[in-house]
Amino acid sequence: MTAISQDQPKVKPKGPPNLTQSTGAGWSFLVPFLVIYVIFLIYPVIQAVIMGFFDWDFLDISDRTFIGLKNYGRMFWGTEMTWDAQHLWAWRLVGLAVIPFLWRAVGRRSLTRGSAIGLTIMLVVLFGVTMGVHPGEGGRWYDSQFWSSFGNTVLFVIMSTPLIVGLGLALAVALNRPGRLVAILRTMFFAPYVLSVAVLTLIWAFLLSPSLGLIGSLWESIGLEPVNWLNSSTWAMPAIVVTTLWWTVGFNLVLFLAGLQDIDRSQYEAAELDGAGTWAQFRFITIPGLRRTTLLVVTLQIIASFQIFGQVFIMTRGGPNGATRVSIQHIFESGFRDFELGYASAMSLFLFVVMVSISFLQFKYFEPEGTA
Amino acid sequence: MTMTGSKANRSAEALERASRAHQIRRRLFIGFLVVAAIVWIVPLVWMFSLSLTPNEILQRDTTSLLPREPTLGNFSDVFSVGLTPRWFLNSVVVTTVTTIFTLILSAMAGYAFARIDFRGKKIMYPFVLAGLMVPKEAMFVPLFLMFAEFGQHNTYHALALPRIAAPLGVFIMTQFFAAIPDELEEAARVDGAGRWRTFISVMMPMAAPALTALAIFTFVLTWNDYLWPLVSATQREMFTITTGLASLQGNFAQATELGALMARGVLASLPLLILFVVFQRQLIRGISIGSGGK
Amino acid sequence: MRKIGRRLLLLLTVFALVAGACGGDDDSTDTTSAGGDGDTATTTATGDGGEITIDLARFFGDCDDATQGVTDVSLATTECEVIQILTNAFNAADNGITINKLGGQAWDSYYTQLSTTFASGNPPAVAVMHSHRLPDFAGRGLLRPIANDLASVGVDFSDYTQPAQDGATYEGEIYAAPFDIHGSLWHMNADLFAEAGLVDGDGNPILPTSPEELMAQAETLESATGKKYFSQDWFEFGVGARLFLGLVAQQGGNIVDAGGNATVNTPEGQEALRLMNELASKHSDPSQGYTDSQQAFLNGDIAVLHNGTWVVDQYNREAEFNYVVTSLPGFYGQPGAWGDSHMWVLPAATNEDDAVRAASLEFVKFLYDNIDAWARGTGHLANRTSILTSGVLDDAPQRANYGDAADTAVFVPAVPNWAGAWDALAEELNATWVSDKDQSAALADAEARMNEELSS
Repeated sequence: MTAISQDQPKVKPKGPPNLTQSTGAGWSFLVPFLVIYVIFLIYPVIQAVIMGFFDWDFLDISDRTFIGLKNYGRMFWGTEMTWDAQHLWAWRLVGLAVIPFLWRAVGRRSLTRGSAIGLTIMLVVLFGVTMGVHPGEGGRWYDSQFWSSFGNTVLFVIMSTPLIVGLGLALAVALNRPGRLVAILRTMFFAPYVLSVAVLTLIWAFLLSPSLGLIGSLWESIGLEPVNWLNSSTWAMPAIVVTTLWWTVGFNLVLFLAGLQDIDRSQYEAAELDGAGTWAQFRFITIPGLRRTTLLVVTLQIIASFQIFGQVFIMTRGGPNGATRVSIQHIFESGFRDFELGYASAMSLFLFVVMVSISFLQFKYFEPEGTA
Repeated sequence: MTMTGSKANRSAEALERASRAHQIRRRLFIGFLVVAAIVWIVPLVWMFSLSLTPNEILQRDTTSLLPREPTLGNFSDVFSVGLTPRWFLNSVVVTTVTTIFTLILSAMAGYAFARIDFRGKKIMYPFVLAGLMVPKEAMFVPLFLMFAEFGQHNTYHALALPRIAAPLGVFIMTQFFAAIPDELEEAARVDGAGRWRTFISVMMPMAAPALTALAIFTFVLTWNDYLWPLVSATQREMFTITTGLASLQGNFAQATELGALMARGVLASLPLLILFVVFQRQLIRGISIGSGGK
Repeated sequence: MRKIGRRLLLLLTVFALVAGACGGDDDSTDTTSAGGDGDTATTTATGDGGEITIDLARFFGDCDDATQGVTDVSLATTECEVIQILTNAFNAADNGITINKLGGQAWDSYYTQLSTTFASGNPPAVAVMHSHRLPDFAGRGLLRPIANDLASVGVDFSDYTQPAQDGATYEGEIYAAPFDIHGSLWHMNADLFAEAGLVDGDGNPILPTSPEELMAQAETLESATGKKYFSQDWFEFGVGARLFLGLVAQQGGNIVDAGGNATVNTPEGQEALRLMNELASKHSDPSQGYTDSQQAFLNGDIAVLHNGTWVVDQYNREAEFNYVVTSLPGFYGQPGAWGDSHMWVLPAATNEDDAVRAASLEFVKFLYDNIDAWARGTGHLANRTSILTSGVLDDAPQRANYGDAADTAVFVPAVPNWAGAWDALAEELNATWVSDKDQSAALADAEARMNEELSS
């Protein structure tokens, strides 16, 4: 930290809030939400989970048979299954690379040794062992699109999360000042968020088309062959990422703005007087001050990215040749096109478990002191 | 600290130069932001310009940024459908009710999680958060069947209730209530205020930016919801503006009536944008909160 | 929040609650749809004199602005206008029946919405359905077999052309009253053909009769005019798969065999795919989707556009060149092109009630009597032999050129779970001309994936 004059108080790390014990009050504040939540969310979810163990026909709901774990077998397994070490080795290395971070957290005391051991074992089993399983010669997955759509979803999450969070943060910091002009700029960056997914995809499908949109004609005017973004196996996913970035960065912008309001202004004034530059202020005041908000934003962003659907379904329909098909699209098609409600529910449960696990890890690793 | 006269002069000059450099950097920065913002909204400008172009022209060529032969025909066509005002009303009612209830219930729950210690909290909080991670398409059918069994489709409450149960609000409010300094709450307690009073007069005003953010999100998400109103509100008088405008589409609409599609998009989004413009002031607090440890 | 904010909030809450209470139970949630617990038909007679209101589910859009109060169907120019004006005319007639149109969906969400009405046991009284969807609904017993019902109201099922009859039949039972046949057509810019010297004495384009002739024509035309010979929607709406189906059928093959297994990796399939890829790489721009290929055609940059029946009137009105449309040329010795049918079905649950069923059937008969108006107003093919041979549609533009398609249309196989198999086929075919996937691999994968879908 740069030198701070003796007159100013040191920046105090925010300790856990001083909570008062009051079970009655706690529940009375919680119950109104809880009632609606249990009836309209938990109850349907439980039914959906149960459906996952049935062969449940969507169109004819009386037609259902209990099949136990067969839906899960269909999702995960295939014929002629074998194991080898180099199948998807890149992904597996990435997964295993998380392990050192776990032990660093133990060193920093934000993770107990016990949890670290447990997580290490899980990661080794998951990435070291189970990901090596795949159909061998002459075999195939029972559901050829399940793992590919999950892989695309993970790819999308990895590509989009840093970009959308980073840009949201940058914009929030840049636009966090009073003034008419800045208010207009804030509106301009937020504006795409108000579009519905149907309009959004219409605009961008046209924009990205080589012959129908502005980008194509721009390319031509500088003498280049227009790129067929949405039909290129390399560029379709990045195009979806860009579309989603444009659409949803407003959400993170607003959340970060709200979070910035809670940082004590006086800290900036003090740092200014001590000659700290903009970058130093950002690093040592803004970033720590936004810890809670950042955790919020990143968690929400990851959850939202895992559930991406509309943009892909309407703009590329999962193409070209499945390069952009995501999990929710596969779930939607299984349920609403193929009428296999049980199977769709089973896949949803899998996705849910993945999201819960990742959020759990995030909270454990990044949680600032205190609250849940 | 004391300085000699010449030293003071040189320091003053240095300060002046620094502040001028600072000014220039600031101007450049703002200028850069303005340019970035203009590029950012080009797709929206294009959308607006397409909405002002007749459909026949767009059947041949859609690559112009500015409208050719501008017309308000696409907009007037939307309003000539008798039920458009009714659809707007439906959207307004459902979205407003949903937003208000979401704000109240989420704030209360968030306050409980953030500032009250109660038995079972350690279980309830993850229980509520897990709801965020449920893919909506999954539980959509049981929810639909539940309402159908009681004959409650094609009603306002069918459109509003599932949305109010969203844990997003609780998550946001919990995080923001937790950031409020304890001293404020203790001060209110010392003054003899009860739990509820503290909540209303101290906590809620402090959380205005968070509440504004949540209100904006809930409003936008509810307004633009398509799948649920699609299956729940099938009678024409109950359409929301989203499904109502969707119902106007003919086959291959984007090839034959692109201008009309864009006009409907503009009309559906405009209220949300106006709402943001009006409420964004609440997002920025001009005064610093609390005095920390000063 | 300051005091004003709080008061505003209170006011808004009160307003919203009141509006919600008022809006929720007005006459919109009337007798017909969502009420009841789904075990009986819910449409009830309101008042005496046999007045009844029944629900109709259809796509085709909503064009009240153009059709409010209009009952003269000759004024219609689009699908929406024809069906809406017909409905208006029916409602205005003195039959005691009112048709209540459901909706709220964009074109592609129709089946999502319709399926949920079946799932809740509360389907409409009459619904429109594509023939390729019939097996899924009929096979589950959700539709009423109406062979006798149709006869009782005077619908002569044998008057329908063979493809139409087949499309409305599943496992020997008749479930639908077909309304039209729509399918692939060969839209041409006769001026470009003339420029290349490829027209006959009357100025009509000469149609190729073999793949070699097709390629030769394409070469000639492209060198003479500098424009591309062909285009279609290469990736957006599965149009490529439709052409594939037509080409396979023209060789006497099929994409599904009698046992319900996919048969695309066959000599016919390989030849069809080879031809399409040759067209794509040498004589077309496979980056074009539905909108751009249509744009290019209307702007005079394409000589032949593979599209459907629904655009005939539009192109006729808007093309600034000499526009000629025919059914697909036979490249392998016999005609054949993808076709489908819009049909009217009666969901079983709702139509158990006698009054509802009588009303539904009367509406269906009315539509049956107006098939020629539908064909005239939309460009789709009339599917009744009596209409096709009567010459009543001869004044409608171009109809004579492709009327034969009503007899030669090739529908997709009537098997359950077809939607997923079709999507898989379309995706694999697209991969060959969009992402250069190997053709035999694509056909093999397509067959495997189709069987995966069909068997699940």
